[in-house]
Amino acid sequence: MKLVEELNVLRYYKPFIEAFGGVKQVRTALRWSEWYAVKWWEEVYNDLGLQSIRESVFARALFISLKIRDYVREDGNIKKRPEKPEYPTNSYAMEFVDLHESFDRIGAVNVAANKADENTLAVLYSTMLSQGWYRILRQTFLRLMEIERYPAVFEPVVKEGHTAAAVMEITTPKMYIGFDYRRDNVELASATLRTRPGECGGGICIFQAPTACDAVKIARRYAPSGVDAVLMLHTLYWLLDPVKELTCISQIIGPGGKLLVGQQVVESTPGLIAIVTSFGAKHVFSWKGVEQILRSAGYQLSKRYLKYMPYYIAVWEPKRS
Amino acid sequence: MYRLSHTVRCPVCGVEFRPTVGYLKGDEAEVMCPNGHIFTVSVPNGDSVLDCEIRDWERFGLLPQATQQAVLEVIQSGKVPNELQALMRRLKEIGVVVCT
Repeated sequence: MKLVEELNVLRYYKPFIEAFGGVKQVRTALRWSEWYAVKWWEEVYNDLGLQSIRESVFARALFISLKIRDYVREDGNIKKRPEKPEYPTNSYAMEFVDLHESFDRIGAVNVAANKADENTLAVLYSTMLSQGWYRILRQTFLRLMEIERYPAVFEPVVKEGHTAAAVMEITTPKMYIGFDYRRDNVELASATLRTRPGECGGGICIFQAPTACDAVKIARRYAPSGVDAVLMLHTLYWLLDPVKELTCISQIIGPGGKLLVGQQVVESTPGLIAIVTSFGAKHVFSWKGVEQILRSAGYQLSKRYLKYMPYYIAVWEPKRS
Repeated sequence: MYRLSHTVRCPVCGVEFRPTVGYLKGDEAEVMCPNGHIFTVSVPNGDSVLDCEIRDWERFGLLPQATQQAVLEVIQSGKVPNELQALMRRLKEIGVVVCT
């Protein structure tokens, strides 16, 4: 971790670091994420070879994130192995490590070969979203973004509604519009937010749409003059065609509106990003890749908080000609 | 913020209305009637976990220890905290938790 990035983490992500028991505990947790990533890559490489990175986003995430850390060679062989870290003592740091341990029991090769039980992965995803460390991560992000400044919010790929619920804990937006391409997520998010799918009761609208472009057409009915913020916390890698969908999303952003981005990237925690890709993410990005995509989609950077640690965080806005 | 699907009666002026609910404190929320009286209503969540048990211990064992503990506590208490609603639904859907 470079010095400037480290200072920025302390500056912008202090509540998260404090909850994790300080920098040492965070580092221990991150070392576990690296340790597991190396273990999983070795298993995948030994069983499926280097071609696994073409067939599995999970394998690709492992390979790229370990390669940039100099743990694996270009040909996929392990270059060096991290020492097994000591177990953390902070309960949130322990939760983080336990998630890796649970995932390890499913089997990295099973995941890379697409043989892991989809329901078990879905349960583990729900588990991650409900874990205490993830709640703090979400809250820290929303407070850093000053979410209360935005009366009308659009959240693409609302998942199980945890981010929306976290927003409601901080503020009461006049309008909160969210969509997901998965029916089960729409139902779960609606239940979490105590609303009905496809209805727009009391300012919360959760509906199903196949892509962000379709969703924006529906969202325009609820917010004809656009929204004040589009909230994308760990969402970019779920989009099928990120540039196209982000371009559509820019059309729902009203004058002065912002795109609030938090995104795990390959420079972040290698084990965690691999876990998340196994839950159905379609892409892995570097932090520069995230910015290239956003620029290609017609956005300009308003403020970058963090490049990659614990994940990429920035505010963007549509470039108005 | 959302509007409840059922009406409630204001304990002060007796007017019946469909309240708009903001932030929930557990299963309760503060609402205001059209005449400006503020009172608390119960907003139970739709998910009941009464008479539930773990049926698939193998899959349940894959969950992190803390999550296993949280799920067991939910089953014992019968109440699902909001942040565990999605997880409990998924566990029920795939038969890890079975409710009679």
